[in-house]
Amino acid sequence: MEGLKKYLRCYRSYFKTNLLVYAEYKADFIAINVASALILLMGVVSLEIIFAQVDMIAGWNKYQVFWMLGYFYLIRALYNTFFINTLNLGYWIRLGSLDTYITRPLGTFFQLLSTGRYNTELPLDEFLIGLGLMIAAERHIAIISGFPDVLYLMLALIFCTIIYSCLMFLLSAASFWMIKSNALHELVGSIERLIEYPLNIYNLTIKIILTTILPFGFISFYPSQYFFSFEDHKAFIIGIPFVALILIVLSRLIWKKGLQTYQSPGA
Amino acid sequence: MMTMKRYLAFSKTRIRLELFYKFNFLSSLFAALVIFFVEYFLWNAIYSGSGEDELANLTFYSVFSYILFGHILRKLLGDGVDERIGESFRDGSIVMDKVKPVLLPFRYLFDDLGRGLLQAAVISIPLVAVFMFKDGDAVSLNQVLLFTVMAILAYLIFFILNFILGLTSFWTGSIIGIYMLKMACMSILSGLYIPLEFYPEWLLKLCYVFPFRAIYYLPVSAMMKSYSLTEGLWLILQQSAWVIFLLFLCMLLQQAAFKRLTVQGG
Repeated sequence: MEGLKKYLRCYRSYFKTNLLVYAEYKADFIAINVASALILLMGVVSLEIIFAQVDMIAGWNKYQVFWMLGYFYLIRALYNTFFINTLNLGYWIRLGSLDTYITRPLGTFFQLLSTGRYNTELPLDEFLIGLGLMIAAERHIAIISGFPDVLYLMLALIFCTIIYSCLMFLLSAASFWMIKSNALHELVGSIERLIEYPLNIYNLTIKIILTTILPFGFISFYPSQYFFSFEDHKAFIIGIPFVALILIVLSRLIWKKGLQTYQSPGA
Repeated sequence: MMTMKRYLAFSKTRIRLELFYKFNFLSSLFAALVIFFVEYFLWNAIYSGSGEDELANLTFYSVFSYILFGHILRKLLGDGVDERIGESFRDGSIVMDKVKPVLLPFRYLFDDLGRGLLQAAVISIPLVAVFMFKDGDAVSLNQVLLFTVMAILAYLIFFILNFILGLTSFWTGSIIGIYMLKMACMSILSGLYIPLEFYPEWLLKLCYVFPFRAIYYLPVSAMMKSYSLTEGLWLILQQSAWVIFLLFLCMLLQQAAFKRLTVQGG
């Protein structure tokens, strides 16, 4: 209990410091938020443009795709609020600043979560647009029919955020072995594009890869299937918590192994 | 001739640097190919879902060419030099570039050109191979020629635009916001994800006001449609107008910007 209090206190003061760094550049703050909202809206406009041409893609109608996109934005918003600082890992390793964090009397992973200014950029736009999309879609297809559905949604959001965060963390952790992997951001971007649309559009090979080796399908596609075609995807939906659990264990393992192999690039 | 050699050294160094970090180079290539396949499968699903041969007067094959050659152009353009200029302004290392006996814009131009040409050439290998095996009308030599000329002009527009944006960071102090805003505009107004033929009227009008259409849509559409000679010349003229306009803006801004430059320490 004492330990938890200490960590909460530390997180608060870290957050304050980050906020100060962030407030230094006001024009930047506005520009970043406008840009990120524009990019999200472009995702919506793209879908509108596509669905002006066709009624269905791969068996999904417009509102189903909207719902899934909103759900994905929401997960990314949760990730951006709590876990995004882990993206700094590669940077720390390259510059050798990880040394400082390892030697401090605080959990190194905790410091990774709390240091860096990313988490102060509250992703309000992602929360709002994500929720807005889901509500707009809900009004057309009415999929949430009672308390059990809401409960499922809450649980799914938690597990899927864990899955997304773990996958992103594992990608950053690659820098323990491959110094200067700053193409990471490009990889993240391409993966996000990969799951913006229902996996039905891909061929079987890609679907299998996105379910097993790179389980990105569990972030938004399979959870959404609970509402759209439950019977066909029962096994996958039940599998969501297990995938989350496996990824947590794997992330812990990789983190431990990474810290062991870590050698400072010099003072 | 000597000066040219001096600048080419920047390109060579950059190419060597890119190739040195192999993992980095390959993963960025891989990321681009993933996006290519996403777009391919998406449009495949759209066309098979609609059950029609043509949407917005474009066949699936046209859109396929648009995506494919678009990805080669994307690699040539890269992310732009604005971030680098902004960062070297922030940490003061820009002063080291200023004291070198080279012109600052050309130093950045040749450095980035080395990266762009290398990446575009490498990604062309798998993409052109895919294109060869796909059934459809063959592309004519004229199309390739027009695409090449327009791609060079597009690169110039994009470079000057980024240089201007890099200079604006002398006033704002930080570049990340400007960079993200540019990327957002690029993804909306250039036809990066969807050919402009599909755009609704209001959005299309907006595209004409910004240079992004001339950076991406115009050159890539040369591979999708077969423009006549006059049409091609007209498009090149449009691009040239953007080059001249932005160049003018850039020169005005550069003088003002470097007057503001103060480097602490160093």
